Amino acid sequence: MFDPEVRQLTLKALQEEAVNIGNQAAEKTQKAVRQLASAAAFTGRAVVGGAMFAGGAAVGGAMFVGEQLLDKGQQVVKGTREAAKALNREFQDRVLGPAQTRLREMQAFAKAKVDSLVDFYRLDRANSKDFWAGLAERGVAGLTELVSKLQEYAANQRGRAEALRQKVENNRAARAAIANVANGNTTSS
Amino acid sequence: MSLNVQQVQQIQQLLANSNFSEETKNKVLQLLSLASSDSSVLAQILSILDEEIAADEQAIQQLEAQADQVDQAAEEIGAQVEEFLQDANFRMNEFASWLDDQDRLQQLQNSLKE
Repeated sequence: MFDPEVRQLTLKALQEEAVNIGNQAAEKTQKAVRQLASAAAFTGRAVVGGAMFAGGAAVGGAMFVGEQLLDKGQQVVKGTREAAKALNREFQDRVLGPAQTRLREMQAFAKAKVDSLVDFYRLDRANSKDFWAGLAERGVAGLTELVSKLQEYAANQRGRAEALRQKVENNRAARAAIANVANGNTTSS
Repeated sequence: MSLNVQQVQQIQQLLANSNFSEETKNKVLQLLSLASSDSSVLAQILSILDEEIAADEQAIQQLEAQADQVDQAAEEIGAQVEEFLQDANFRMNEFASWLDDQDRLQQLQNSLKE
């Protein structure tokens, strides 16, 4: 059993200590709160800053990606142009070039042929030399027309020959009749 | 041998109905006016007629030879054009086939990348 005075003093000491402890606790708490608050502010700024950084990065990234896409697009366009050029080259090598070479050979052949006919048979009396030679130079369509004109010309000449043959037959008969009359034979006109 | 009037008239009629040229007819008619006195006239007349017939026969040969040569030229040029068109068609088909091959190759490369 404690002495009441001692007990009173102890209680008082305890109370004082409690107050001290309380004060200290409060003080510590306030410090902690201030620290927390400060930390929170930092964190907030960091979050905001981070967000801003992330946003900037995203925008920059998007711009980078966009630039890459643009560059890729230009490469695609360039590639398409190169592919078209390559295709043209293939077409030139495989189809157009040989065809043009062959066409030039044919035109030279046809022109020489027509020139020889013109010079030998004077075809230009009825059809001008330039016209015939011009047909030979106007590609496949001109050559096809030339063939048609030559065939037409040949057919006309055959027609003239046939008409002349009939004339000769008639004149041979007239000549025979004249000879018969002169020789005193009976004849009919 | 000289010709009497009746023979001259018959010859004139035959000549008029013939296809001889006017130049030949005029020559013959001039000779016929001398036929009653000149025995060589008939031979001259027939010679003139033979001359035109021979010239016509030569012209026939030339026309036919010309037609043959022009026809041959047309045939040769036509054959070349036909050959050219066939060759061009063949090359176009070959090119189309090559394009198809290129497409298939590209598709294969794309699928391998994926």
